Amino acid sequence: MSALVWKELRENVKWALLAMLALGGAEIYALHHNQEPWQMDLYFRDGITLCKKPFLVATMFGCAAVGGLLGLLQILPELKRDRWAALLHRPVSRGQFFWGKAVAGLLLYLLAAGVPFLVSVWFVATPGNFATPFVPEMIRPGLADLAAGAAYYFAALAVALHGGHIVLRLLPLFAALHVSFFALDEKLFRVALEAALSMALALCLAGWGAIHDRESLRSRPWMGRIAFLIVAFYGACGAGDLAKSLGGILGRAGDQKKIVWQVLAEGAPARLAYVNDVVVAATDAEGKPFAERKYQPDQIRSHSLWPSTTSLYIGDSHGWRPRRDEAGYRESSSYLSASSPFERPRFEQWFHLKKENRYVGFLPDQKVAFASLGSSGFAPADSKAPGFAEGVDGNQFDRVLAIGEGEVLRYAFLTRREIKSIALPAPGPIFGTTNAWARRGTGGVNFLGVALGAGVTVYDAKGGLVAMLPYHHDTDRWGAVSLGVDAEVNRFILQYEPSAWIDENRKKSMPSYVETLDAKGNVLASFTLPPLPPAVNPPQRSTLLAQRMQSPAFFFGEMLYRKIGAALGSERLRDALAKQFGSDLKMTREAGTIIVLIAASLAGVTFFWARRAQLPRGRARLWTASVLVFGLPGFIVFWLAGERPRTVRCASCRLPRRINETHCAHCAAGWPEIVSAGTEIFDPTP
Amino acid sequence: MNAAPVIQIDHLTKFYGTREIVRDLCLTVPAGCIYGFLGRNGTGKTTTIRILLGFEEATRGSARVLGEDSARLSPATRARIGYLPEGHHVYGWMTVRQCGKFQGSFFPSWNQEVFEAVITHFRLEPKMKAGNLSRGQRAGLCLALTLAPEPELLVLDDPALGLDPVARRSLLQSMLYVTRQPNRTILFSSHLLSDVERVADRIAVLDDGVLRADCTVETFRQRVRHFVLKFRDTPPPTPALPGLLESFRTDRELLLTLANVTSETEARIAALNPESIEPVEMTLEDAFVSYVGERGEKTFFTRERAAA
Repeated sequence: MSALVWKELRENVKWALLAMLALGGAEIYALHHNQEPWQMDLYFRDGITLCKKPFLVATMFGCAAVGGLLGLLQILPELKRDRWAALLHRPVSRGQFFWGKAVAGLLLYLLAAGVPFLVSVWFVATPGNFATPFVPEMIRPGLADLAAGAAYYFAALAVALHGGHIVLRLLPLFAALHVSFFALDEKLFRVALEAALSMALALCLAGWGAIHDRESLRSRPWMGRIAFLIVAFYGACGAGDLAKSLGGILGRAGDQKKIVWQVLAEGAPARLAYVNDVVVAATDAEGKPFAERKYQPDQIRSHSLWPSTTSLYIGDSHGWRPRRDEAGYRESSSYLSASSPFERPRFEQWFHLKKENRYVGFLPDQKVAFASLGSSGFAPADSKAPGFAEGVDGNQFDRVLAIGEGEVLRYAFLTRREIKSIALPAPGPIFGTTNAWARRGTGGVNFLGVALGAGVTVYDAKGGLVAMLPYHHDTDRWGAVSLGVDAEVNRFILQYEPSAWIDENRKKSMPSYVETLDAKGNVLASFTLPPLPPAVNPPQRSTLLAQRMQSPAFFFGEMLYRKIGAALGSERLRDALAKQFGSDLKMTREAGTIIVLIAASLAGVTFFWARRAQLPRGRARLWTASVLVFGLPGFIVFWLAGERPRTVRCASCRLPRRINETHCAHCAAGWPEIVSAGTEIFDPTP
Repeated sequence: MNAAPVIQIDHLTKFYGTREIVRDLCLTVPAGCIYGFLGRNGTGKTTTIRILLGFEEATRGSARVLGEDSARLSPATRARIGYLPEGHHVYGWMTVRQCGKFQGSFFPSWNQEVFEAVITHFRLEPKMKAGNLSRGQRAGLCLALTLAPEPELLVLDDPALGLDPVARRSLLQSMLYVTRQPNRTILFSSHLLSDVERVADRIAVLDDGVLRADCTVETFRQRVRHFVLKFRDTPPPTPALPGLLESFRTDRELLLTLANVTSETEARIAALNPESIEPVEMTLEDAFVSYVGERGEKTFFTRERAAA
């Protein structure tokens, strides 16, 4: 096998080197995209270094493309009839040929995709290249993409080796696509990596099976057959994922409409009606249109206060914080966060390292960390400051880094390199901090809002207490509290919305509140905002299409599942059932009728085709029944995988007969004898 | 010759789609025999060879090679079969030496001396790049790679295709070298009848997927006969003679090519009352062309055309 590995390596190394250069270039370019100091807000919006979106686009698409191309290039040029025969006619098993190719291909893939990634990691980890800290865990998304690329490599081998219908041949590619979609959505790195590696293994075994027999599944080793079935299943899922994402092109079956409460600059609430994200109507809390020009739909957003969220879960009675903090492994916020991504002009940029729970500071024009900040205060960058004891919530503004740590609020004065504890007027813990901004002239003044159990405290940039705003509502249920400050800094607005832990359906029936308070916490005005009608979010046309094309088994099975679940006491399923037979009844009936009609028509076509293809009556009935039950998916399976015996017309009865059977199924006649022309020359073999 | 057949094809039929490529083929290749597999393009020779080596599946029937089902040849049996496909494929980036080393690593019975002898015979240097070789040299390298494992059975699919006469002669000499070893069998397909005539013990002729002849070269030549019938006037139309392969009418002559001529056939020819009947000796190539060519009468009437 080593000779085969050597041959494959030598034959394809040029492609791997080309791919390595292309992918390396793309990754390094993506790392530098929007990295100038004046673009830092854009840069942080897209993630940081190895978790930056353009970089992940490069790793995700790049690894997939490199893996896929290497796999195809390894097989397709050799697949020409005689070349393939010349290769395979050697005293080794087909499996060994596959493993030889696979081992070499994987090594080449690691060269083409792994080396650029390692170079990128080295580049990011080397001080002096980026004004951001390097967290080793940030290699995770790239590693997951690398593993997914291996799945594409094996998918390409399977695609190239598998014979038969083109759609059937493409299934491995769709299976790899499915794992990419999965890795993109999955939050946990371990799960994404395991999924990618498992799919790579399944695709590898499917390819190994295909090299034994390109056409027929039956003569492949059992493990190859099972792997192919798994791949086919996930391939169908991948095709669905692709159709769904492409289905967005069809648009929605109607306008998206929503009505929201907005706090105006004076602190009064307004009701804004949006159609497709454009304000079309604005009224006050009582539903009267505004007379002032500035509150007309086209201008009202510019004259709104936009309170910023201090906390989503005052009290955190339902343990929401740990769940909220589960950012996906592809998000740089899982590993570090920029403490003030939008500050301009940027003074110093501090990053909170999640795992070490400390800060690292960078000067915008220098790409080396100059200091770190932990529980013991400032320290040089190379001597790691001990981290904070508890999870922190930090805000950087006006050359101050305000850090809420458990029950302690600290101000780190960046110019003086001093850290100071700020007394809290009410006991902690701190449920969140926010940077509240009061418009003043062309600029603004920054304040820090700290959400405590008893109220929101507002501090200025020096740590002076500006206001203590006690809560006047049940913050366990209305624990999503936002803070706004008016331009004169004498009125503070608290907006109460249902806590993050409350179920979305229940939130729809809960009011929200807006209060205007003075600095001492006296309520100047209070508004109860009734729950708004739910947003009209018409389904995507592709979703409607998919719903009508689904199988009767799934459609009616889901209905039955909901009924059983509701009878057993599941609130979620009862709600879903009520919706299905309540507000969505018309759509349910319509979909049900269309699904049944489609399944019945397809079943008829299936029976006709099956009989025409000379399938025995029993098998034709079985296929027909499966299409009736599974609808369009069943029909696609029949079309792709159903036995399709080749037939020719029988010389005796003129009916189609199978070419691989010795006797006609209709008249039992054998094949016609070869007619002697009298010119045959045979003499006995010695 | 050994009694156990090396290749045993039993009622083999192959369809591509609904087109029948090979029809009910039965053939036995005994050990130690050089078998020429003949037929026009597209008559199923390569398909049969590919089925024998397990690269295609038979639609009906079966084939056994060295006692094993051809659809499931084990690596050990493959080691006993040398196969030279059409096109003489080599890895262009390898040198001649690397080609040998690569191939040799797979075959336990690799004989480096044979390899070197054949490449020397074809005037190949070990350092030459396979991609830079001429067609003849490439064929020689492929043959060396096929012969060096010293296979018991050598299957050659049109090995001399596209080669000049010198290269063809070299190839034949190398093939003959193999048969000097005891119990070696060769099955080769070819269009070059002079080569077949030179080396083959037996031939099998496929016509439109059907085996029409399976005999020794000598028998084939004897059984396909050509007569020139001379007439005083315009020859009569060709009668329906048994075994008629082709006839050619000119102003004064009727040329008949027949297979399996019997005394009855000869009597019917004589009944045409020609001035003379002249049997003509045929080369294997002429016999083969007549045998697999268009059947029926061809005319070339200059006088009648002029009169018309």
